[in-house]
Amino acid sequence: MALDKFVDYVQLWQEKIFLGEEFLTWLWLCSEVDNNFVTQKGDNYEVWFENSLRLESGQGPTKRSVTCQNSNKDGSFEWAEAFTAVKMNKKVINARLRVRFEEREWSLTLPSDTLSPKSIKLLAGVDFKDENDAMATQAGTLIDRVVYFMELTQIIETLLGMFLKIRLSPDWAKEELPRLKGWISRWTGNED
Amino acid sequence: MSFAKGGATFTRYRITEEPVGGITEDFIAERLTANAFVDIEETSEESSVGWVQFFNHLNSTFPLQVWSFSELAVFTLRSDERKLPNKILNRYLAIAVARFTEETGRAPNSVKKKELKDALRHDLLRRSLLDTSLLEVIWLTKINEIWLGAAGEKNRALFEEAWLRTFGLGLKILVPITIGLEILKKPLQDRLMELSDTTIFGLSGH
Repeated sequence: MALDKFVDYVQLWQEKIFLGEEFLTWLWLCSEVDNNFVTQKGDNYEVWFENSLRLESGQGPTKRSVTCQNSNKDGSFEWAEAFTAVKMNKKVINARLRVRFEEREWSLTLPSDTLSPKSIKLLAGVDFKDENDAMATQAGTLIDRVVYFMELTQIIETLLGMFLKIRLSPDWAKEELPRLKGWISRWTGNED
Repeated sequence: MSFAKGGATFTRYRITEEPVGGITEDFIAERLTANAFVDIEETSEESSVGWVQFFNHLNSTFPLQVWSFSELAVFTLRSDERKLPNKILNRYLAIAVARFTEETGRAPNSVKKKELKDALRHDLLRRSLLDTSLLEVIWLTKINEIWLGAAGEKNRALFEEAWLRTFGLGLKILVPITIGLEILKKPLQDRLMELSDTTIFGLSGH
């Protein structure tokens, strides 16, 4: 069986690989600007970017990467190096983040190329009940975990949808981009 | 780390076509059974790739109760491989050639040398350890979505080949662009397809 059933999507994926980078960069900046809240239609999604961000610019031989640590626990200038990297045209390609929606909370690593969650941990709102039957316990736990992972993928899709709608609207250039660039400039100390 | 325990990692796919007769429990079980993992522990085979049970990687039978849970179909792709480095094979071959020469008083010709090499390869492969890799798969049957419990190009390629061989159904990997096209409606879909890579947040951004 030929693998050409995948090829069209793989080619499109490679052509639009920048979408995930733009999305993760936007999500990180929004979480910084709006005190870790991303809101849509009355739903509040809390998003924290933790520990380290990997940013990149260029492709092939011109590719340049930097990993920025968030080591300052008091919250001041914690991402100064990352803000500077963004200003130098780098975009976020990998991030460790926490996401909270209603009573549930997840910790995960999100790569920009696939937005496939990695190393997911369920931090809150999870209750796995033990049962006597070994198989029932295994299957029951699996089903519960899949439900929580589905909720997480739905949240990622919701956040991506929010980004794409604003990215493709006239408000992007008129409002969103100036708002985010203004925030970057405040931290890097240079006004455009 | 797996879907059932620890920190999970997965890659998402959408099934893009249906088999004649639809996707039924019989279809899934029959395809899994036809492409089940074959144990090569006691043989000299170099590799074997096939399906085993999700919760028991030593069992490659598929009664309904071990793979169908609620609206999930779950199974694992097992790949066993044994490698024989050329360096080791050639070292053993040199010994075998020397022994043959001593015993017969003449060096082996090319046919005999190949015969010795094939026998050695068979013997050494049978004695070498198997390297096993396991890729968990969850099929969300209600929404035609597949989760591969792994990331990375090599794992994806191994799974995609096994998937097509087993089920013959097209898959679309769910990544930003394909998710975006599912979420958005026209004309935003068209605008998304036209969007190109720009320097958006940097000093020269637009």
